[in-house]
Amino acid sequence: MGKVYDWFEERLEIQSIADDITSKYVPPHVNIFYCFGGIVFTCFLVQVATGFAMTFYYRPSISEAFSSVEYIMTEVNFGWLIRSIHRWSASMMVLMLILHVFRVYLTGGFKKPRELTWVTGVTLAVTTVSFGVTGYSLPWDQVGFWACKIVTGVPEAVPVIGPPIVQLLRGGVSVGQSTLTRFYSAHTFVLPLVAAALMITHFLMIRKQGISGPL
Amino acid sequence: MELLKRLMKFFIISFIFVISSIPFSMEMSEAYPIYAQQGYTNPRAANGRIACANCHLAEKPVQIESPKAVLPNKVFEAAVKIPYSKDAKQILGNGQLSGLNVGAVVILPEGFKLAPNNLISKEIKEKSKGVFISPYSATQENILVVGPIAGDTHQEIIFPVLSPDPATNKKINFLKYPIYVGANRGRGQIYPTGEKSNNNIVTSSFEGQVIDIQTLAKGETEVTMVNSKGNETKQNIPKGLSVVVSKKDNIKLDQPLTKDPNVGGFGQTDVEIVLQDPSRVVGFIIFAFSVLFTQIFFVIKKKQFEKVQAAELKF
Repeated sequence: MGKVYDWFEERLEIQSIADDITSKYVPPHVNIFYCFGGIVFTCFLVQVATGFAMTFYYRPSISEAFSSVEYIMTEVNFGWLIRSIHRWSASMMVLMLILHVFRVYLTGGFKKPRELTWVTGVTLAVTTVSFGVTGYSLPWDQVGFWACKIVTGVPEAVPVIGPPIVQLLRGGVSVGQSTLTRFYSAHTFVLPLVAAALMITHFLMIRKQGISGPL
Repeated sequence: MELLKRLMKFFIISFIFVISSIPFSMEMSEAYPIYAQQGYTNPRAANGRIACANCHLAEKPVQIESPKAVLPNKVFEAAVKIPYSKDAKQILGNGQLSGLNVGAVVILPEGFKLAPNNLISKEIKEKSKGVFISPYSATQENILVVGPIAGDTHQEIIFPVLSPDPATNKKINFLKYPIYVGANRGRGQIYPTGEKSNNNIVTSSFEGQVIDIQTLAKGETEVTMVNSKGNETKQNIPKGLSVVVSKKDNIKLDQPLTKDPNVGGFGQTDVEIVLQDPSRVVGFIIFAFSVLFTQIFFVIKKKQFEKVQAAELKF
């Protein structure tokens, strides 16, 4: 064990990382409400794990999406559990995110010098909700389809740039296969990437500046 | 050998005869859902419209109350509510007024069916006296039909349903399923033949001025009109409808001559029901308690650690 430690220490100076982690203490004013952010992150990890498992069986085509989800729910070993956790954890993530925003707002955690943490946090909130919107339509059931149709139609109300945005979201004039493909790609590739990048900045800034002070 | 063949032939022919006579015996029934049963193998079209709406044109609300989740092989109740004012009177085929009848169709998920008599509780049996629920057809036990029955005493119809068991029926899975329900009160506006019933507004077939309104012997009303060219035309209004035009009124084509006699209407709605695996419920309870105890132990451990810290500080 000592040799392995020395090998890494010589090359990566892991002692300083360990010192950095152990030198941080939780200030006394921190209470249970400061857990919400961490719970959101935990939910995200659960989503990544269960979502990854479901990509094995889910097929993002309008003719097979629903039956593949049905297959996950009925035939796949513990598929019902994985998908149910994914679904419930998604709702839990948004709920915890809202509570986290409340906590940060009420304790003044957004004030100088933490403005940028707040900005990345809001962007993360938008990303999380986008996860929800795109994920909701993936089973391509009745609610999913109509939700997709309504949500992608919202920018239509914006003058001039509205209609092109709608086309961009739908990949065509109407909701169809290209919309589902776009949603799937966003849900499983673009959004996770964006979320990961934003989370790294969010956490690094918290690390640098520490937990916001008492009221 | 020849005899055997003949015997077989006899049996097959008599079998076909019996089978083909079944629809005729069903036709004898006075039940109006029978029109749908004869005309549609599946009462719910692909777009979600239930067949009753093809003849019962007015739309009125309907509600269904059923449990959110059921365990397999259990009897549960789905209550269909068909609200309407009990003062309402509808026109019968012979022009007389009477109370409304009601009827309902409940489209259960595949595998669900009407609970057998011995599994229905006495309470429910008492409550649904005079309600005869039957499957939509011999092959569709999951679709239940009732009606027409007196509406004033049956504004709520209780369907006792038996849930399927995935252990014995491999086609059934533990999943969330939709239940579709359609319910109607009052007579329809169209017969399956396309003919209009007398439960409709009568509109003018001509244009002109009313010069005479007469009641005929059988209770019908005869409206005589004269058009701008001076031609006289007569239109009969069936018995029981109240005429809203009077002498010297100028009538346009398709203008209503009577009040709308229809007080009923059809409505449809749906709910979701979960066929729940009891082992999953138990599993969740165990999981929830394990989380609870873990958290409690964390707190206890922290309290202990704080005591140790406090004790060490004294030295």
